[in-house]
Amino acid sequence: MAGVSRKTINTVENGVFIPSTVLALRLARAFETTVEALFELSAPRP
Amino acid sequence: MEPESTVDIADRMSRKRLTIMLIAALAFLAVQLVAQPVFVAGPESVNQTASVLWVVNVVALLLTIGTGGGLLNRRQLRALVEDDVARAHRQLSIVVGYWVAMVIAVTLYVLWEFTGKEVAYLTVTISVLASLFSFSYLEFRAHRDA
Repeated sequence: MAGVSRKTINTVENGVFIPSTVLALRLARAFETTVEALFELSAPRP
Repeated sequence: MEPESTVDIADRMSRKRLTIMLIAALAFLAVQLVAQPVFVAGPESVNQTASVLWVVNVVALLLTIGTGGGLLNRRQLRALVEDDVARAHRQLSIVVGYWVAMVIAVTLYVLWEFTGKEVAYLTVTISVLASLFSFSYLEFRAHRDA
């Protein structure tokens, strides 16, 4: 659906690979949601 | 049994590519350790043949790591095999090869016990191997996590 391999989806899910903006947008479109719903920044260090 | 989807085929081909690259790297290493086309003194014709074969082998390996292979596959399949993660891994492997080449070249320059041809041979051979092993490891790790 997003035009990438299973390997890429899994590495993104596991946090091993940070997707490009284009890939993040394609994933959001494939899941019919927003990029912010799929990805978030980790809390900044104190 | 359901027909294989393009994603399944791409997954299978990606794993196959990883295996082929690893075997190619190991075979290249084994041949260089045995033949040593630059260092072993022998008949001129044998040395020339070994040198030509080395050049052909290196060019083929460089084209593989540079393009990712699979150039004859249909576009959609190739796009899946050469997707974002694979491209990132290839780029990182090429950077690894570059830095290994720099370290080897500078080290040999400092040592200065080798001829120009020997330096070129060692630099290219070791850096190509570093790129291939690096790519193989990164792809193996990604497939393992999948």
